Amino acid sequence: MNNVKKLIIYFYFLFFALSLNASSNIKLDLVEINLESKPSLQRGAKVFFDYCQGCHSLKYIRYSDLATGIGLTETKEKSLDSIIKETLMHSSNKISESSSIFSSISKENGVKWFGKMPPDLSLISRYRGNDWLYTYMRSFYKDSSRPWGVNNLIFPDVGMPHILLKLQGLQVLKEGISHHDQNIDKILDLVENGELSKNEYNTLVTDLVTFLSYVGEPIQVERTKLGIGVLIYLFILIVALFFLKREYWKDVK
Amino acid sequence: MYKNLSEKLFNWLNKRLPVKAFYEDHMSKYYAPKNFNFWYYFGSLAMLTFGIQILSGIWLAMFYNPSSKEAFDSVEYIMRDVKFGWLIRYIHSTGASFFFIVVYLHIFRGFLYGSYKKPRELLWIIGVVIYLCLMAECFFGYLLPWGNMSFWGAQVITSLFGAIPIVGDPLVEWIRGDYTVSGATLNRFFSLHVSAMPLIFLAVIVLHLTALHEVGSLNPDGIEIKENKDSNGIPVDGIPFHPYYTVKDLFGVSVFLFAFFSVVFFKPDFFGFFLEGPNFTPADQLATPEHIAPVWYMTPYYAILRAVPNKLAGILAMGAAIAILFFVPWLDRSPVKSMRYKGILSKIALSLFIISFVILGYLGMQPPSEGKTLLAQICSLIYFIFFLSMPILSSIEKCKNPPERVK
Repeated sequence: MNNVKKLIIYFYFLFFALSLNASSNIKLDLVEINLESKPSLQRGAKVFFDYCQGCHSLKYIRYSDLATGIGLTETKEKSLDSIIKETLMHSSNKISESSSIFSSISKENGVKWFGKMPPDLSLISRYRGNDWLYTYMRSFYKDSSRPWGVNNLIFPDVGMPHILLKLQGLQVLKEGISHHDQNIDKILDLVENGELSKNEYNTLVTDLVTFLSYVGEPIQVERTKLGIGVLIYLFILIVALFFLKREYWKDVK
Repeated sequence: MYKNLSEKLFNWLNKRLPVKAFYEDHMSKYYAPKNFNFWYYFGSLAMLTFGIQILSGIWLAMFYNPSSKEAFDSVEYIMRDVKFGWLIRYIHSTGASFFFIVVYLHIFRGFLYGSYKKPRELLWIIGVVIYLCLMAECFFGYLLPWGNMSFWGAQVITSLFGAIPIVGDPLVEWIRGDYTVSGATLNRFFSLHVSAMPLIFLAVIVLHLTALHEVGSLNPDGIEIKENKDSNGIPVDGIPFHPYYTVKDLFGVSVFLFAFFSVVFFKPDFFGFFLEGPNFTPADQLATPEHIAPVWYMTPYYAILRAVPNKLAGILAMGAAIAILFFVPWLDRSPVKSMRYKGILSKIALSLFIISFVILGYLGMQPPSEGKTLLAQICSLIYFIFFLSMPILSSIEKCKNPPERVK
């Protein structure tokens, strides 16, 4: 029996030694988003339409659905269409029922400027996760060997320029710091201040992530709300069936 | 008057279709041991998951479009525009994983109480066939969302057949219907997933139940209740399946649904295990995901495949790992059935087997490294030793005497 214990302990340690070895990546910063906060969603949408939509599309969501989803509502003076045009769109295109959100960049120019067409971001939050997006938008640093003068810690040799550079400011890599399992704060130094303070910038990125998370799965809030009702119902069912079973099984000896 | 009429109608029906006999044979006069424990819930739960998958699948197929240009978009259409489409899709994707969880626990029960031993050899073999059906069904289904992981997963798995000498390459081409995984592959996988496999699946489930009801259920003590019958020919330790086990299984169903819908509503991607991040980008022949791994339920076998340095030998090892399940009824030579009365050696062997299977599952998800490959090799070895040592262990160890009657 002793040998078995030893063997199990050996396996236990081998297992953990190996799993530690695997995570030599940079630690993602955790982001807390509130999908029910319409102001946060609207601020995030504004960042997206001001800075991202020039190159990135959101082809799986329509302008009208998006506007309703982030809490833009029609008023007596203004129709939804004109609100969308004022707050979100930068083009004078007509909005129809089925207008999806496309970028204004052509495929040809995308490839010419960035090496590949900038990806559609409808599902980016589901592909990468919110924490990844939050960390990504905050981990650009100066690298003069790259075409846009910047590189990214968690997306090495990224084709995208630091579009929010003006807001965040310029970061550089600290020297002599191991990147192993480290937060980006420990690795990067802000050398040129941007228009926003660090906290303001983090809030702006949080809003953007909130918006992208909403776009990735617009039903999220409704889903969990419905889920609570379903689980309450099932809990009552479990209790009822437990007693029903006990009643039937009384006579089994 | 109504009673009279319904009685007449029932008699009319019964003379033409053996409704009453069927109901009695399989429900009200089918006797099951009275001492089923926790592990005996998973048979009925597997049936439930099968039903959930068939129903949710029917609705998904109404909106899904199996062409390489439209497939990915149509899944997003289901998720966003179809009323409650997201719910149906999450039920189906969660159902696939829960099906495996339930089936793995069901198989574990078999190992624990010797459910494969005489006279249940064929019942076990049919069960292994169901397991194979489940793997095939999930493999075909996983391609359908046409995400990048779907594409590359199918690419890797179909390419395995290419390692077979001589016929390998033409065989791969024949399976894919193209030189690589393409729209042609997607179409045929869709057809297999929604028609051929479910039909086979259903047929084998019916066989499994028929065989079960012929030999009767075993129980945690490993006692044959049919050996102790009263003067009416009813097993003294048995109780009618209906209502006792229908009501008990219903309770199990409600607990299961609670767990199931917790995932569906609150964590549908289940931390990337049930729905993987890279599958939220469309299939792209030119962009290989950083790390290709099958979904969690296939990873133990994938780890065995990768543990062997030679590709063909790896495939043979993977095939053998599944095929060896068919021989379990004849490998176990123990005089007793249940683990409760087997010796310490069998207990240790089963524990090590379960541990190594879980570790293999973990390793199959990870990118390979030298240390991990070594660990996978050790665990694969334990996997096979568990089966191959069965005849030796079970014949040398000292077993306890099982009781005559169910306690």
